[in-house]
Amino acid sequence: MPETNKAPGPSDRVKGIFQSASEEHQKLIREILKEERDVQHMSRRSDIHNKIYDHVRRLIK
Amino acid sequence: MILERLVIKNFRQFKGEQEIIFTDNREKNVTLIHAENGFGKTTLLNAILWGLYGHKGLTPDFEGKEQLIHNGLAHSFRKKPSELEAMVHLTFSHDGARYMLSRKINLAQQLVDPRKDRIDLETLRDGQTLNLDRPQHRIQAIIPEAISKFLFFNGERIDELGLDKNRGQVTEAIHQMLGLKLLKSTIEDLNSPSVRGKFRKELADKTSDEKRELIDQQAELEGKQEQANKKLSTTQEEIQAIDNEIITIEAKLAANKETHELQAKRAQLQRQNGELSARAEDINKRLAKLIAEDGYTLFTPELVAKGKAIMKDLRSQNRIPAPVIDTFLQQLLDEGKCICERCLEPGSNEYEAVKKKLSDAPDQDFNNAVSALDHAIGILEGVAESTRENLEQLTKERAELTTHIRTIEGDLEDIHQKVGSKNDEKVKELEESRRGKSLKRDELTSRCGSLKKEIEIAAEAMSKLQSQISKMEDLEDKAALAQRRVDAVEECTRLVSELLKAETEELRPLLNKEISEHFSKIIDRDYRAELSEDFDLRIRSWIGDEDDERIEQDVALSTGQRQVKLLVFIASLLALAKRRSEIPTILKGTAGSEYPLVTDAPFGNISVFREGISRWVPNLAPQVTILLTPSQYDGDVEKALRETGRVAKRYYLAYNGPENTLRQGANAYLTVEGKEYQQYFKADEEFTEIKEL
Repeated sequence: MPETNKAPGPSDRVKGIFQSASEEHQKLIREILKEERDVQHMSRRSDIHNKIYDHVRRLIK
Repeated sequence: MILERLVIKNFRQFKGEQEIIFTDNREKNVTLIHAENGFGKTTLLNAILWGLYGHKGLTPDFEGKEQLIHNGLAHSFRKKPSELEAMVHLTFSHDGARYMLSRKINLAQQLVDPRKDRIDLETLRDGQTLNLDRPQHRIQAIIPEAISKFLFFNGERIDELGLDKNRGQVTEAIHQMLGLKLLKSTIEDLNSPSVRGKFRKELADKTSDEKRELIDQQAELEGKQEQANKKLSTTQEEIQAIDNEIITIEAKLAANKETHELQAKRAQLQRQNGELSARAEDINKRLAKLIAEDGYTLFTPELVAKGKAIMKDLRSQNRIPAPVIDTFLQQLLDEGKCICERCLEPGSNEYEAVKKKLSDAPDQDFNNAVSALDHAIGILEGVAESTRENLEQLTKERAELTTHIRTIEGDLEDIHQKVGSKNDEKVKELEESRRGKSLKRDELTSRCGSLKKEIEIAAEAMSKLQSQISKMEDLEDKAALAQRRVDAVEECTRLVSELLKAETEELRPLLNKEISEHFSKIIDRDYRAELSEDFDLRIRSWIGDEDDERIEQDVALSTGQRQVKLLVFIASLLALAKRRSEIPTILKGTAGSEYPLVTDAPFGNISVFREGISRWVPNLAPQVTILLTPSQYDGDVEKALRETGRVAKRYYLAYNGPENTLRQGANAYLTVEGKEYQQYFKADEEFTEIKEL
């Protein structure tokens, strides 16, 4: 692989956007993405919708 | 994903079990498969696709999709069909694990429904083999079908990926390979009626009548948008299906000697037309942006002239900038002494005179404002000038493109008339069917445009309503909690969208740089690749001699250059995806991954660029498998590949069959690196074998 081009890592901008969120929302996003990882390519979405709904209810009180 | 081993059994002309071991060495990353035309290159590519995705993964140009089992064997086993099967077994590694995928179909099943097959996926973990449930789902997660067109393709048909209608697929592939699909699907799920909609309904049930009314309006709009989205996706699928049918018809017309030349000309004109239309669309977008942002300046010359005259007049009267400002007069009063050395005693006439001037004198801000006004007038004149120039340039380009497009459309119509008036009934029928499908496609494309507009309008209206709803306070605890949950969903959607935007915006220049660098090297010109915000890949260059007259324009590429562009784009994307897989990301799951590249005849139409492609593509992609004919390999390609030192494995396809079935022009012997290998064997039955060199 060419060594000249810089590796595209998480930039300050990306970090900044995520860290600008409240801890509550950061946690919610992490939980949702964890669920999404396995099902992102599936066409059937009802299960993931239920899981996201439950996470929101559990974390936002 | 890195391919390790492929075993195919009784799949089309491959009789019995045949095996390929791919190189997995990152430095020596090329596997070459030499084969004459008609010996089975396309079948081999389709065997991999069938293994991964089943019947729906087969390419549109793979004819006779219903008969996957070797014909001769199928005939012999016709009375005991459940005893004969075709199989593809693929071993690959992905994210540190090894997988073994098998897909099988027996003759009995092929006769009933060739779309149904049996798939098994196993993985090796801690020395143990585990059978994985939902194998197709797991394969989709490892290597989504949406990116397969960019990884396993026929080089001669690669042009199709560059067409405007396939821009969505390009975006999808970029998102998939760079790990951004996760963010995209999260946004869609958060926006769905069963997440956001459900929380809104809960809020509506617990809040005031006024707010409920707005929430209901929002839900209604959401429903409309959802419906429009579904219609859009169905319409796009219909267009894709029609396109595939047109490809099949055009392949038949290209194979017919009566229409071969006309069809070749038509294919060339269609490609040109597609590219010109994409450029015209891009110019329209740039024009819209220019007019929206700077268009007002075109109406300002009169105002600017008037403003300048007023300023000049005031200057001549010495009123601007103010000769004396209030702080200076206040200082004189405070110090009790005028600049003419007179005493300024409070109550004296002199003191009162200066004090009177103080009340009329402007402050420093006044002079600052005068400077700012001078500056603004100057800028406005400059922007007006550059807007006028840009507008003229873009309008001129658009007019030229429109003329060009009209000429091509006229030529295409001529070809249609000529093909339609051939005496061959079969040709007439094919042309008529092609015409009908093209008209249907145009109608559906237009419907897509209206639906997109509808979705855009609904989104804008919903955003306005959301802002109104959030501002209305809730007194009840339950209503406040429901509002908090709606707000959390909205906020998370906004954040994930921002993350997606930021990641995309940061990756786009990296991809541009990579593509520009390699494209310029291969075609030896000072061109710059530009992947636009909506992922249209254009090649730009500077024209004009003088620095101040130089303008950057889209380059009209030749067929060969277009193929190079797409091959370099894919290889650069693979290189970037690999680099992205090696570094930590802020959110797990948004990293890239390694993907293989398997291409049939990548040097089909790229003549003079073969050498550059052979040299640079293996340097970018982590694993490359190339299927090629002896004539594609001989000369520049052979030399370049040898010099890269990247070729680790070589195979060739050997054809067995009666003498009269050997394709015209095919040699009985294959010569590679000065050595001869027998590639044709006389046999009663037709079949192909994979042999290692």
